[in-house]
Amino acid sequence: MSNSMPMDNAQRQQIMEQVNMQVEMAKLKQLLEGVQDKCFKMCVSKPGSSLASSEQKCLGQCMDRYLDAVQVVEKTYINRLQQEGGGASGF
Amino acid sequence: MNDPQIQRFVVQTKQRAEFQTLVNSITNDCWDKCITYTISSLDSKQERCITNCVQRFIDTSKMLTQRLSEAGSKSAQKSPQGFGSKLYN
Repeated sequence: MSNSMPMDNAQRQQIMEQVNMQVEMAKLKQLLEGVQDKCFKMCVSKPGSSLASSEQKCLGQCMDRYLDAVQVVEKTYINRLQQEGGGASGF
Repeated sequence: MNDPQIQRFVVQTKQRAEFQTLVNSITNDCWDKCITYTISSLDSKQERCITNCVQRFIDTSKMLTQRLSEAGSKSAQKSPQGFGSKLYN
């Protein structure tokens, strides 16, 4: 990477795709950590010898609501930034 | 690396990743404050709570940032070349 040969378009494209993929993976990882933390707390309060069907149902619902919550946060945050007329300013 | 297209891409990607992390962190904080049960959708009370939570989070961040910069410029005014004096030239 430290040589100064200019990259051709295919190389550029490839690098950008790989980086985008890594960002997506990081996003998924963060989501999963959040869901695991919040929904395990909410749904598995008394761990038994296996996940009960009621716990599985709770986990599924909890995950869906967590994803809803992420969307509400994202939307609210973006609206606020747009109202204040600055791009990504302030943070 | 001096490729301008890649440099632009890196800046944008960094912002996008930071935004994702911030949204995730706010979601976790506001979940703890607003969600004590789950049903088949977010009910209006939960949604309002999350919206308020995000707004107050941003207010808090702005207020503390401003306070901190005021504290910074006060201490800068004490020194003769502080940036506080430049503001009123």
